Amino acid sequence: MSGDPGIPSEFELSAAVARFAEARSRYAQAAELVRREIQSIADGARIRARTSCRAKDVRSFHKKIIEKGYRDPWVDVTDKAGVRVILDVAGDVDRLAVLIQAALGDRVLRLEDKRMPGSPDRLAYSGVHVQAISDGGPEALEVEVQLRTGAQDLWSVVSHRLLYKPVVEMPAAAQHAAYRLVTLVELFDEEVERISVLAEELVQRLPVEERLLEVAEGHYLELAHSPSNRAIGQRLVGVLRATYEDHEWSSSIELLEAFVNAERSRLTRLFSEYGPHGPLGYVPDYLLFGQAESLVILERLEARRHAVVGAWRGSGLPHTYLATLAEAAGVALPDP
Amino acid sequence: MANRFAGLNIGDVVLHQVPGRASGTDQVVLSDVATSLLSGQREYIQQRIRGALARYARPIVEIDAPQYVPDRIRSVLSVPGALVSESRAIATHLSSAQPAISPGGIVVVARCSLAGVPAVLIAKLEHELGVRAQQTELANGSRTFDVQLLNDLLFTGSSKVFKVAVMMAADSDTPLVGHLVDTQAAGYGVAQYFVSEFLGCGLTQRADRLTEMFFDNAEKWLNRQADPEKRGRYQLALMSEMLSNVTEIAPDAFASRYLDFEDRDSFGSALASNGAPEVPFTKDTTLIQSRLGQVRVDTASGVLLAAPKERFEDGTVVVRRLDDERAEIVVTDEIAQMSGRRKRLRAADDGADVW
Repeated sequence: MSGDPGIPSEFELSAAVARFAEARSRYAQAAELVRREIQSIADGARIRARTSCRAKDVRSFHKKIIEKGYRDPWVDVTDKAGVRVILDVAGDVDRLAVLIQAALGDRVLRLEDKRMPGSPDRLAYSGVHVQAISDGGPEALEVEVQLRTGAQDLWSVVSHRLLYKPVVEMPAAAQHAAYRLVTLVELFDEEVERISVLAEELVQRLPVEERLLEVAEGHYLELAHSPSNRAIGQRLVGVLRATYEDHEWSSSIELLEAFVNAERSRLTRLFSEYGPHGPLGYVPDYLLFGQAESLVILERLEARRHAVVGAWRGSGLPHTYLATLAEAAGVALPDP
Repeated sequence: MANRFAGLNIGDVVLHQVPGRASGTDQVVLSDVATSLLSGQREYIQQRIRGALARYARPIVEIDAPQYVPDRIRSVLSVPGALVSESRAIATHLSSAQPAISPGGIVVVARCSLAGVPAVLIAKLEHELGVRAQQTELANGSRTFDVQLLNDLLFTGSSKVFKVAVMMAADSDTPLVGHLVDTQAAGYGVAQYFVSEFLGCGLTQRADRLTEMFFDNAEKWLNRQADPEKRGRYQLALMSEMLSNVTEIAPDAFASRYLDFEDRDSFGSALASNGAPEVPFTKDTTLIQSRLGQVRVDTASGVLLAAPKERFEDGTVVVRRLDDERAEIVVTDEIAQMSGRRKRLRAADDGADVW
């Protein structure tokens, strides 16, 4: 031990660094597991989230212990594994935080809301941190999850470089200029939130057909990485309307959401093999794989195959389009 | 896509050619290496096989293990690099197992997975005939189309000339299980030589049990229909299907042929939720023979009517729906005899008399 009973000795410091160097790959694995879990939670709730992860660099781990004067480096450095989640809308930070707590349960150790600076006249770092335990890997490890908006992330990255780790000490006026940028971050996020709420209200006023198409397009973009032709989509959804009982039609969006969430991994593979970027994307028979409504058709085939075949026959659309989609998805289509 | 065959994914593929009677040779043409599938080819073959499995797959199991082909499959699944050599053995075995009358074709052996479980796919594809037209320019500069007759096509759009077996990995001392499709066999049956002599397997479900399950579940479903006229019509359709000369039952085709459009999916769901067959199966009415003679109607107030199904079909007995929950049953016939019927007593296990 060193002379100060609270500060780790050089030996203890070296041991902590060596231990982390040895364990770092496991922390990287834990971070990736938690990242996937959170991306899945966000996707399931249709929250637009961009996730990334890392295990802390060994040198950063070493520097942090010294800079912060940690007494128990192994315990005190809580971001040995980290996941960053960037969200479009400020309200989604709270929504996702709640969903993560619900999904991970006891594996959430604590939640820290860093958007509250403590005093109305102060500006500070913005974001929510969730300290979680990984699951599924060889070892359950702590992972720090940071939830931020895009604007908060931008300010955080810039301020980190200019204020916390500057090559030269910034003059007070320059530091003030950097801090007041937080005001723009807050204004930006509030305006995005306001406009997003308005957009959602307008979407809710649309007919079910349009909203169903909107939801299908959102999922399709994520699964097939391709836009969809809206005019063809409107025609196809019109055809599919006949496959819903009246009570089903009002919950058609929920039916689609449940289907996509349950079948996400198979759908991802299906569209990578047969979608517009797949090797058969140029063949006309695979037209439906280039349309977002293919998701609605697949959900309907799961629920009411005969009704889909009947509606399709009545529409005059080529049977080959439907037959190809069904065959690739392993669905037995009744004869028309 | 709860359908499990959506999870069929094909990996390495080896092709061989087995001769047919008309080929004038008994020589199997074997490959030395796996076939390199170009972009889109694997996806296309996979799609065709997924579709065939979804429509026609019959569960099979290895009989009296270990059998020759299942052992080759175990080797492919457990020994890295064994695919080519074992596939050669499989193709040679097929050539010797198939009857002389069987046409030649291409044997496909592939590593695959079904819902994540390692498996081996064996398919026999027969060549089909088709025509290709390509624009060409004559010596005088005139353009025309050159037509070629192709007799070596495989897996064409409406192809029904293939047999497919997918066998899943299992412990070394456990019989292999899998699925079999034979789109060539009469109706929806399977060629016996392929399933037993070649694969060393048998169907896991007996035809008489499948027929009974279908009949029971179809009756339960139709008796849940609110409209009495519809119930009667569907009951007659079910009896007709069971008493007809057809040797196979295809539940989808039954629904399309006899049920009102809006009832077909409900019928299919009822079969699926009770484990009754959804894919075509061989009909065997042995276990339900005693129930096929007459149609019986029980009313809520205790009236019982039993009549041969032909009497419903010729209009002697007519069931009509009234405006409320009730129905009208009209029997137009000569009364041959009326008599009191005694209730028959029998002893119950607990000693009490019951009806």
